[in-house]
Amino acid sequence: MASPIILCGDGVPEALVAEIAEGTGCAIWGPGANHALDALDRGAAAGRLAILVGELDDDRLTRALRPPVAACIEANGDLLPIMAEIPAEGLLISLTTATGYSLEVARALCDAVAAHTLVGEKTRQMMELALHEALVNAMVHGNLEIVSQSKDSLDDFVLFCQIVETRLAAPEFGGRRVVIIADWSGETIDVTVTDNGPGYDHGPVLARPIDLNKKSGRGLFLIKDICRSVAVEDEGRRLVMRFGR
Amino acid sequence: MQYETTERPGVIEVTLHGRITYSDHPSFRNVMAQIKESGATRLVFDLADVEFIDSAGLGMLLMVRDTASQKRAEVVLRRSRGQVQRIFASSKFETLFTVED
Repeated sequence: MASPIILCGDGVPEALVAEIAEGTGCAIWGPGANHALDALDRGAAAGRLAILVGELDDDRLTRALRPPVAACIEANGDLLPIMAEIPAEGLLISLTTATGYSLEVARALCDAVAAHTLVGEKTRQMMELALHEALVNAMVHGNLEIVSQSKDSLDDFVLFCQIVETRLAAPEFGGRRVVIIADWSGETIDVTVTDNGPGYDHGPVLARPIDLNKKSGRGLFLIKDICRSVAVEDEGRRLVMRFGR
Repeated sequence: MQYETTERPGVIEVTLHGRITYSDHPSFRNVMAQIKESGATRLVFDLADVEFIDSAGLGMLLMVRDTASQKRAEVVLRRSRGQVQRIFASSKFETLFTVED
């Protein structure tokens, strides 16, 4: 049986930590609401922690994912359903799209997985790429609802980035969540990416053979090539990628 | 991604550092501008210090290849390693570029 989750925070109101603790029945860790990362840095920790965070940068994200953290949740919106998804043996990250797009999330998560459990370096590298591609799809095509378009020139990339920045700045898009769960309870490592977009039919893309000269839209093919298996759920909002260790 | 270029008669060498992702298109624009202005017939990307490349990075290398081919220039991908080397292999880049150790 998994150890119970203990709740803490960094840069969030203590009242929020108390509210989530009451709603989930979790105990609150000693450092409480505002200094959990510093306490983790000092090595003062016990049990499996779920950390609610305010602002994040790449350094804070790395610190917030070290053992014994089981979940790093950006404090925005309804957090109780996210708390219910924390795996018994794994790691969960929940971020808004605006935050996730600005950070090296795939690298941070895969480094954290390697710190928590046994995974070969080659697997770690390829898992990072697959997760990176899946996250870009989830954030850009899922949450930001930007339709995939061919990018045959660098001018197309410029236009694409301008569209992304505009959507990220709009709270109704940039505020949507992306949730990543790494589950290593078995012989394999399953990494799941879930967005809150309108859904997407991956079938036609996954069924097509790749065009080696294609300059964009290769992400799903790379994912399919890297993973032991890929499953699409929730009408295209969830991608489950399985890796051997 | 950081980079520096050196040019000698007929050759432009671009040494890349760090990670190549979708946010690096401004750097590739600069490289392509240099290619268009030069008479180089050989364009070498040294990737020894590149730790990661995503699908957008692969696409940008293909765009460079298209520009180079208009100038009848060869594009060489040199000293790729780790994840970069693996993804080049799975994308069959050895059929599209000259790949060197």
